[in-house]
Amino acid sequence: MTNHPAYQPDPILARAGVGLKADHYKTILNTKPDIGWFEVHPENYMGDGGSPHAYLSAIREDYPLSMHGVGMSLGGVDPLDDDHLSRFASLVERYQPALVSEHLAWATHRGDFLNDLLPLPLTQEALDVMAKHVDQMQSVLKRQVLVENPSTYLSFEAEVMEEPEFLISLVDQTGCGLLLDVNNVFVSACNHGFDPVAYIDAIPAELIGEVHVAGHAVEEINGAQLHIDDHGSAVVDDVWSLFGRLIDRVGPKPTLVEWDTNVPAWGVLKAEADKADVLLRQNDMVLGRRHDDVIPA
Amino acid sequence: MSSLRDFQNAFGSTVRGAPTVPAGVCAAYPIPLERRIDVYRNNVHSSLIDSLEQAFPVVLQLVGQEFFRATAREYLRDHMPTCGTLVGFGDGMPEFLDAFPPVSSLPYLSDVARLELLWLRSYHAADDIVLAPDEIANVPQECLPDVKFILHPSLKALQSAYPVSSIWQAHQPGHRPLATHIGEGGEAVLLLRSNLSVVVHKVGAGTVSFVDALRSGEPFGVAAAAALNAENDFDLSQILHLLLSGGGFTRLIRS
Ligand SMILES: [Fe+2]
Repeated sequence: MTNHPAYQPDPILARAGVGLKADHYKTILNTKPDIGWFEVHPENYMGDGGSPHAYLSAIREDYPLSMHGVGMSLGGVDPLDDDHLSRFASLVERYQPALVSEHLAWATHRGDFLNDLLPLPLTQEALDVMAKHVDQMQSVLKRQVLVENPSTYLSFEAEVMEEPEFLISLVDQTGCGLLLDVNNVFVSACNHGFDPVAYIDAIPAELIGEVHVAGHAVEEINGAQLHIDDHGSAVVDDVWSLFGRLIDRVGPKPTLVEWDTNVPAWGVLKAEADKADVLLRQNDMVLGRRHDDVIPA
Repeated sequence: MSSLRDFQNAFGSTVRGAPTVPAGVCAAYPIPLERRIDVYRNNVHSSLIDSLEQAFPVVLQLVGQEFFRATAREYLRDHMPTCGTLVGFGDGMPEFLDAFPPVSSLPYLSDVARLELLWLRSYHAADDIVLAPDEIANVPQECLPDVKFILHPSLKALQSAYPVSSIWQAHQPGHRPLATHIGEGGEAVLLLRSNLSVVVHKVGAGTVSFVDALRSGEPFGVAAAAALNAENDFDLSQILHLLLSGGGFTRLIRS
């Protein structure tokens, strides 16, 4: 295991952020909205130059960033792609994001990239693969990575761990942090029939570096419901109440509102982030801390 | 249990379309496994096909969405992305279309795809300095033929046997699709980024020869001769003005 500084909560970031969308670049630069931070998929900024980098640089002048990878395939049995890792590292070097994250998932198949977060059987072998790759990613990036729980649709006979236990073991082995996606917990809980509250309660506060909330779709199949994580709508009440419960326990955490398909107008997205901010601030007051006036690092 | 590698090999084939359910997969809730696996199959294909729709918006309009998505699905059989970013995904589309029988009645389609790929490459090209027009003014007239120009990374050029520029322009937002007669002959385009936007200029064949020659390291005099060879009425001063005012050169090298 490599040594990384323990995760230090960054007070400015214990607010809501949203995903940065090209459609919103100009509005953000022109209106400088009061929002904590922006999250980007580094994969979208792996071109050499031009518009994406120009806008991201300009926005980075005014806001902290989170880099949320979707293409590393940390759970893939094949070695990590060194080129992808070094592209990721140059983006981290260039934009100095406050947070860096990736997923408990895999995405590569016989040298091809499948562009989805595929499910990992929670076995000892999978834990070893994840630990090795998280370690490598943290070494190359020279910083802590947060690992996100995926939404899943399938289980595996060979699984020997529940997801919270698996993630906590991964933290023990690598010193990584966790990105707790409350919507993913809810979606998986509905799809597998486990209790989302018990899952949320099982994650120790100090391991959580970031939280996600998002909307999802529901498909009726033979009178039953399959919940599908499409980030295509507003956050549902069940997810907001799970989020409220989490924040009551762990205090304010940087919280992303994910809305990646059917991306709404800026105002709608911002209003959703404001909802999260209200919940975060309520708990901030309870804990007797205020962070509104801290200047971005 | 089979090893993780066996599982990922099997599950990867399944989500790519194999009609199989890998060993050891289960589900606790009464929704059939197949429907659950379909979520992954759909995520993989629809996300990649969406990305191809975004990369080739004019090809999409030319063939219609249903046909485009079916074509893209065929494309994916042998052209999955090979790295974790989709920047550059779709590079093989023009050659794929050239060899795809269902579009053989649209011979211009692959060149439209080439133009759209060049647009993307120009859009993502590295940032660089721009040659100040003064610098060329300072070169003595007699030395000009030996000067070499370094092109801006966003400068691209394409010669087609079809009216690709007219077709492309007619399918831009806000333009009314025009009836383009593909028998009207070939067109050439020059792409260059201006204030972060890629501008597509309709040019003559000489311009493409000129730019190609400069790109391969030929001096100005040789490039100009190649241009005149390709196009009788090649207007050197007009094209120089376009390239200098549009930031098409980064440096010049005097021998
Ligand atoms: Fe998430």
